[in-house]
Amino acid sequence: MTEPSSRRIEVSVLARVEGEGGLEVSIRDDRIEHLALRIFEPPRFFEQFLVGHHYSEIPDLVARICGICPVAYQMSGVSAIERLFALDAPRDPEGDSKKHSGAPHSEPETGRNSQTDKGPYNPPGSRPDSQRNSVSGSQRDSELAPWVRRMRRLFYCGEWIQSHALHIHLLAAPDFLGFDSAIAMAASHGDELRRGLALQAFGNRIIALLGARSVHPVGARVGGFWHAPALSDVAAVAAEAERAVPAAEALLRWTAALPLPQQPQHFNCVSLRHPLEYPMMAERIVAESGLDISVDDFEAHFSEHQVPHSTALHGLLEGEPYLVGPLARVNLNQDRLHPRVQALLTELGIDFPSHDMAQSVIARAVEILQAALEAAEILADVAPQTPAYAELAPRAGIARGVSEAPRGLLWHRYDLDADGLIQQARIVPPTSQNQARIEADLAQTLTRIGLNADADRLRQAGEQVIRNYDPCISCATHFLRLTLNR
Amino acid sequence: MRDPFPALDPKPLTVIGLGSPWGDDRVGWCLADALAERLSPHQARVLKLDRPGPALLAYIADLQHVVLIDAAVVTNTRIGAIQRLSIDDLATRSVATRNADTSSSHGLGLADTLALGRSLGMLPLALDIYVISIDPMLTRQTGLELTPALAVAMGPLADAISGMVIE
Repeated sequence: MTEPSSRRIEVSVLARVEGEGGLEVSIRDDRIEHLALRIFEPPRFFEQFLVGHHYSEIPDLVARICGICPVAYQMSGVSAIERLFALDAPRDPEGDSKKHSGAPHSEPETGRNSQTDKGPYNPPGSRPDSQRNSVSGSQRDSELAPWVRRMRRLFYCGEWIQSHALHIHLLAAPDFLGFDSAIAMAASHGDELRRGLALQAFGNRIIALLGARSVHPVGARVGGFWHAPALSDVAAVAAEAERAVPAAEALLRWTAALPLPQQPQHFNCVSLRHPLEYPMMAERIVAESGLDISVDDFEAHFSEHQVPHSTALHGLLEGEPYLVGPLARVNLNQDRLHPRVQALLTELGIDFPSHDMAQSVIARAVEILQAALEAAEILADVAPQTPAYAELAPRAGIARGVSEAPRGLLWHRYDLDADGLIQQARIVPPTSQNQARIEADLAQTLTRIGLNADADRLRQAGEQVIRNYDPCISCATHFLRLTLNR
Repeated sequence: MRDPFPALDPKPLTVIGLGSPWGDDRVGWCLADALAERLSPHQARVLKLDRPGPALLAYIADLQHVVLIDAAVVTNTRIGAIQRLSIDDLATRSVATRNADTSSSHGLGLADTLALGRSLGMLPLALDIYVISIDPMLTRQTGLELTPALAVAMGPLADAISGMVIE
């Protein structure tokens, strides 16, 4: 009788990811007995830090959660508060009248969401005709509303560009091209790396234009921005945008030519859906499985649970793992892409939706081009605006908001009292939502390679699978349920 | 996007203080503030950057002369000790600090960023790197005041850097 065989594969510390995590795989009799994406970075308790603070402090406090995606935290936070206070200015032009349709999202749109779904790409910041004059309040408010929305979209374009450029060039590309690091890759791919760094710098300059600095920006506030950017600064960044667009086109061509493995898997994609735009801030959360819900109904469908090996929670949709992030967004919103992006994808023969996670690198390049084109269009037409914000009167209630961080859906909830003080906060970052999906991907990928394969081969493959999701472990580790047994 | 024949910055010196807002990690920023008071904009461009990672390269590429000032946890040195390091020295010491649980975002710290910049030909013509030793426990303090030993150490370094311009 053969003795049962067992082996253990461990990556003690993951390289080239944001934050501190590791991987543990136990194999017994050619089957994975235990697999854990270990997240051991200490919990950060941000949700508890927020309690007792005034709602106006949210943008500056939550920006500190992440140095890579602070704009996303700010935008989800202000969106939540403004939805509660019923501020017209920065709200998306969607009503809350839609109900869970139950129809698969990937099906033709005829008959689905017919009142608010306005077909293919529309210019950023545009509104359905029926709502162009629907902003209540003064004339100033009606001018402020679209201005704030456009500037927020520009702000967000900057973050997508810088975050995706960093991941593609310095974190993911070395894996696909067989290098240990970007430094090792520099000798043979210097032009591509320089282009990537230039795109990252362009994204950072957009963030600094509206946020005063690119890391933990301070320009955003509930109701708008503290002040509008100087038009001379806008002109300088606009000139850069003209050069960034061809660079982003070249990048998409380059990612399309990368030697990517072909390993399709089955998974459910989740993202925001906007009636007009490629989604950054929106009111509806959709999934390939047919989910189509209001931001307010997130908690009824999405759950989080703790696992022993992680200081981050695992997110599930109706009890199942799911994917958020660039590939999920492109899969669910390809009809909202800019016509130039769609034309280039057609020319390159790239088809979305895709359920091959390796295609995430192409999805990121798609979003860089989308954001560069939108940024160029917005920057070409920035009007002066004083003041650049609306003052709001607080009211008690539950504020819920969401936006699409570079890594995916970022959902916030704040329970406010009548003075606008936070009584309770909940933040669901994309990396928590992707954790269960990453572990499912790891199990499939390692099994496909062969569990008898060399340990280094499995270790390297495991790291590459994880890096491909661009996990932001620092963002995810902000919660710990502590149970004391005495 | 990058001009293959960029015009060199007309200012001879760019001083960049690296750090974060609180505790002794902000000593690079404090030095930048002190130098901004001493030097006119015509003499030097002075910047403060918050943990820029690889984005640092966009600030230093194609310049003539850059001085970087950063706080560092250096073993076997006193708080406030100032060292002028080469990129290779920095890489060696960064390994030591990483083992001490001070790894940077995405594993791309200052040493990796400068090594990448060297590989890509994106470094300035002249680059001076100064690190000031701090106590890792004090980097977590929340105040704006520096540890006294650091405040004392700043003076001679500010003199030396401003001397580069005035000479």
